[in-house]
Amino acid sequence: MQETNLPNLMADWEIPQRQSPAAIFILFIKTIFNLAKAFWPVLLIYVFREKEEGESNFILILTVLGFGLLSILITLLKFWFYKFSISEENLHIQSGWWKRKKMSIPLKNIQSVQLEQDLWQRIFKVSKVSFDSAGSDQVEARIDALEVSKAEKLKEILLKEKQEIIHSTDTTEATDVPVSEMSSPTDSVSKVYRLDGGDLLKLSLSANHFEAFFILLAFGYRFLEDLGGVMGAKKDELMQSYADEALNQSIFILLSGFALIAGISIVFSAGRTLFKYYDFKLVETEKNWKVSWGLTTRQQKIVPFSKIQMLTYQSNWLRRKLDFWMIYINVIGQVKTQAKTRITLPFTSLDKVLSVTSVYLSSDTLKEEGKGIAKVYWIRKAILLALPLSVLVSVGLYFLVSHYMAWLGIVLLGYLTVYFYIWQQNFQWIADESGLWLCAGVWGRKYTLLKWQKIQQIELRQTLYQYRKQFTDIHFITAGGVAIIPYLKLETAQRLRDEVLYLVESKEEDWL
Amino acid sequence: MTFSNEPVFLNQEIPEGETLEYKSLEPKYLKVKRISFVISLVIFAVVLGFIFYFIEEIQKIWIISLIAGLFLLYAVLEWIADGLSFRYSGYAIRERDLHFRSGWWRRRVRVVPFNRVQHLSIESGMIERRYGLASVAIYTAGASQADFKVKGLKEDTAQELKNWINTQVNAGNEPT
Repeated sequence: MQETNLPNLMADWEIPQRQSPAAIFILFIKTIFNLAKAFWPVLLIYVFREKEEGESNFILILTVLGFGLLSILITLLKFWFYKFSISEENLHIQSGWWKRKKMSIPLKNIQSVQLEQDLWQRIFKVSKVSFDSAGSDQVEARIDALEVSKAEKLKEILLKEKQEIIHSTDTTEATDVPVSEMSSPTDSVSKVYRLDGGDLLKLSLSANHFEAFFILLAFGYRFLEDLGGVMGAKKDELMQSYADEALNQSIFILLSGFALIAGISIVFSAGRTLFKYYDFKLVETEKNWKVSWGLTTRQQKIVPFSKIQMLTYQSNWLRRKLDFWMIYINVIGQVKTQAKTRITLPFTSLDKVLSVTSVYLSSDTLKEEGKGIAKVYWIRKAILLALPLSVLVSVGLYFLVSHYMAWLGIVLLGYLTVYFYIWQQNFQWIADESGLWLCAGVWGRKYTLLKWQKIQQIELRQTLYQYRKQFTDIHFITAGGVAIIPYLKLETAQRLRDEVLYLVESKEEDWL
Repeated sequence: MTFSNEPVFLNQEIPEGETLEYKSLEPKYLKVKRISFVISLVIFAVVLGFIFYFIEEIQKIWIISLIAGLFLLYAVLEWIADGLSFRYSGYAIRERDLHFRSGWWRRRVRVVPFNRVQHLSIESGMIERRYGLASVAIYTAGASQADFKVKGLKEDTAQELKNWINTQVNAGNEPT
């Protein structure tokens, strides 16, 4: 039956058409809402300001009327200029009066069609139709109101070609799944990773405690200030009296306070990490990772390998000593609600990390010596970033705190310069037919893995200086993050880009 | 310039991006850009004027002249940069991808392979339309910075370009 109906149906859709007239009302509500959102501060000030005597509400009424008329005008224009149609291969949507837009979405790329009814749509017996194409953050296109029967036909037509594809391919997403499903032995399990008690302790103790420390330090400072307030003396005077009375004692108090705060912050951030990664488990099957973790809020996720866009693993200074690594994966789904997910996985040794990440891209190549970047990188960074920052800090300290503190600016300059120098020395990249490996870091290490197949766009960026000296930054843009190699020789970057483009364009591999 | 073209990992002849001939944008586009720049400058100046009118504390000669000086400096630099950027900007089409370059003191060359394109649109603002110009926006999946616009085309060129890419996209994605 469908076979005979569809061609006729198609004919109806080829002529550009407007939405159901009910859309006018729905758009009107939306416009008023948007206008109110844009101008509410002005309105608020106007309504609540002190009124002069004898002032009538005439201007207020006029303003409201003006807003109303403006809304109606915008709505009508929007409605009138919005048209959609379907040609053989594309869905076309044209819209806008001030800024005109004609959109074409290949039917093959429409991943899902959603029919929704809010209150207003239900009242008018119409439906909102929205279309998602792959991995998009926002709903790309939308019809606000269409008669329900028509909307259903539209959905049918749009998904006609999709049907076979959807049924044949694996549609699993990086989803939250109930615990019961996690243990179902449907797939052949090849590897299982767990964190035992000792590992969890290591992970917790090596967490970044500085954050908690500074927060608590700020609290401690405030506490001292409050204490001063209670005693009827200013903080400085309080300090002064300490100094006068017993210098040794005050230093002791200060130091023990410091130690106390440090202790509390370590316990705090360690505890947080412990709760988060309690009973971490990763099960590797043929096509997915099934991951679960957490004590108070237990999380489960299924990560299909094909959905991983980019992968990084890193370690801070302390964790590197302990050989402890965190893997970050950027996953992209087909449906809007799960557009992008970033998942963090802790691992107890680099060997395990390499073995786990090999499902995305093998890290064997990392044993080779990588290529570096231009030496001028650290000099430029020192001049353009470290120097202005240090001057700013110096000047700020000089005027706001004390003349002596200005020296800290020079210390900062030294530290940053050394930092950039080491960063440049450590940076390495390796490229082969399958993908790209980046290694970076000063005290810690961060590895970035990128399969060429996942690339969406490539960009070369040059500052004026780089242009003159024939250097460039190269950005590999994926649907889940960007991998950057800075300060490459221009010709190397161009050649690299051409080779990658050749690989991406000559194969019809699916990136999703 | 000597171009070594030393292979990075692929030891074979491949199409080169640097031999491409870039088509420059419509000269009218510079005009459009400058008109909208002037409009935004005027709006900005009006806002500044209001701020100075209402806040008495900053009504001092040195503050006003400092702000006005910075404002003028910015306007002049941006005006010059727009002109230089226009001369550098352009696009090149190959069978399987599109290159677009822009900027002047920050130069960018961006490539999008057609087999990654999700959908396309033609956009034209009020001023652009007055001069018969339009831009083609190309959308790929994911990241927000992934949308790609070829600006400063004639309306028919834009339409042609969009249709052509669309054909390539539909032909390329055919499940075989």
